[in-house]
Amino acid sequence: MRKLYLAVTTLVLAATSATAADRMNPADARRVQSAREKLVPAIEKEFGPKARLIHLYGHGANALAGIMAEPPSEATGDIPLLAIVGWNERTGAVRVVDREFKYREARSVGTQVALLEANGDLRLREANGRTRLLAQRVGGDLFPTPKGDALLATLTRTGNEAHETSIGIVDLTGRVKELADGPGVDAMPSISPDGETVVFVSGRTSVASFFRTTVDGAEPVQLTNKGLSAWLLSQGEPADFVPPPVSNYAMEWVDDDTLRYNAGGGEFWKLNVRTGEASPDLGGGK
Amino acid sequence: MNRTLKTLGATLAGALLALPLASQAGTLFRFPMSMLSDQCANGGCVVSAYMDHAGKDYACGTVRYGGHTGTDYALAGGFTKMDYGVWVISAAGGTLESSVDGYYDRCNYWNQNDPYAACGLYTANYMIMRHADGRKSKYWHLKKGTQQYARGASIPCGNWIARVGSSGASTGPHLHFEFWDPTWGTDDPYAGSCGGPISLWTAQGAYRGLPGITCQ
Repeated sequence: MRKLYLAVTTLVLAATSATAADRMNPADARRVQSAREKLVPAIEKEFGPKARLIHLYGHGANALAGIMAEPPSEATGDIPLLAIVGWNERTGAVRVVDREFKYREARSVGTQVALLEANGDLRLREANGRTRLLAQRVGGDLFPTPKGDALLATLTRTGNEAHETSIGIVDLTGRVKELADGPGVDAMPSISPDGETVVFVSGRTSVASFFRTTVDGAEPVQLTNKGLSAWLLSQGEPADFVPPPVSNYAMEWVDDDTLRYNAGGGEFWKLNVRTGEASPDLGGGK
Repeated sequence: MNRTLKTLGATLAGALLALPLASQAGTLFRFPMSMLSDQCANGGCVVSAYMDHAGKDYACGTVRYGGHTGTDYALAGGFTKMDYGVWVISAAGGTLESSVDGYYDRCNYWNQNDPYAACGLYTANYMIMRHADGRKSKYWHLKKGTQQYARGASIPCGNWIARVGSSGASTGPHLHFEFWDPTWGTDDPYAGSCGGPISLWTAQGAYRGLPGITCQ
C-alpha cells in the first residue's frame, strides 16, 4: 500500500513540477538543472541512492544544500534532519560540511557555516573546523549580513503563546537582538546589501505579507497585501495580492531597494521594498 | 475562626479533587475533516503520524516522528485529491482566534527534481480556534484561499472551515491537527498506554482508524 501511495504521489509530483516549471524564469530553471545534473549524483554517491536533495541555501560559490537520508512514505509535516554539503554553483564543486543527519538548516556566513540543530541550537562551524554555540531557541530562516558578521533569523524566544516567533539578528559573538515581534508568526528576514533595511514576512494581518523594518528594529511598515484578510482571499484572489515567499533560502537582493524571492514552486517575484510594488520575474534572465 | 478555617480547607480540598473532573468535562473533539463519501470516507484519509511521546505514539506504536506535536491526517489521493477539495471541519464550537492565509500550498519536501518546491518551516496557512474552556484546536497546512471565516468569528462544531493543503513544511497534502490546553500546553487528544489517560475525542476510534464525527 505504501509503495502504491509513493508511486501515485510521484506521478502527481511529476505533473506538479511541469506546471511549476512553466512559470519558472529560465535562469532559475538553469540553476535547478545544474543542481540536478551535478549535485544530485554527488549526493547519491556520498549518501546512497535513497538520499534526497531537499533545500538549496543561498547562491553562488558559497551555496549549501540540505540532504535528507530517505523520503517519507506518507504525507506528513515531518521536518527532516539534514546532512549539509557545500555547493559551488559556479564550478559545480561539492564538499561535505557535515555528513551527520542532525540539522534543520544551514547557511554560509563569510568563510564560516552556521548550522541549526533540531533543538534550536545555532552553531558556527569556523574555517578551521572548530564548532561553537552561537545562540539558542533559534527557529531557522538564517540569512547572513552583507559583511558576514551576523545572521538574521526567526527566533522562538518569546515564550508567549500568542507571539509564536519573532525575528532578530545574531552576531558572531553570540549576541542576539530582537528586531520585530508581532502577534502570530514573524519570519523569513533578509537584509539589504547596504546592511540597513530588513524585510520580513508576518501573518499579523491574517494574510502573509511583507513588512519592512531596519537593522535597528524600527517600527515595522506593511508593504504588501494591505487591507486584505484571509476571509477575503476565499472570495477569489484580489488583483493586488502579492504572494509571500515559501522561504528565505533563495532570496537575493538585486539592489538596496529590490528583493527577489521564490513565491512557490520556483516562480520568483521581485519586490520593491520602498513602495511595496511586486511582480513576477519570469523571463529573460541570463 | 477554627470552624471557618475548616470550612475553607474542605472547600479547597473539594475544589482540588474536582479539578480533574472539570478537566474531563472540558471541550471534546470530533474528527476534524469531512467524512462524506467523496472526502475522507472509504479510505480517503489516513493517519500518517501521531503525536510523538518520546519515540512512540499514544498506543506505543511507531506511527510518529521526532518532535511531532499533533496528528497528521493525509489525503490518500495526494495532490489530485487536494485539487478536488477535502474539507477541514471545526472539531468543536468556538471562536477563530488566529489565522493566516496566502502561502503557496503545493509544498513538497522531497522532490529533488525541483529543490525550489520545498517550503520553509513558517509558511503554513493555518487557523486556530479557542473553545469555551480556553482550550484550542489548531489546523495547519491549509489550502490557499479556502478559509471560510474571518478572525473573531464564532464557529459551531462540524462546519467547513477550510480545505486541506500542503502549505509550509509538508511532504504532501495533509491536515496537522493539534490540541492545546491552557494548563498543560500542547497535548495529545488520543488516550493510550504511551499517551494520556483521558481521550478528548467524542469517539476515539481504532488505532490508525479515524475518530468519530459526533459533536460534543
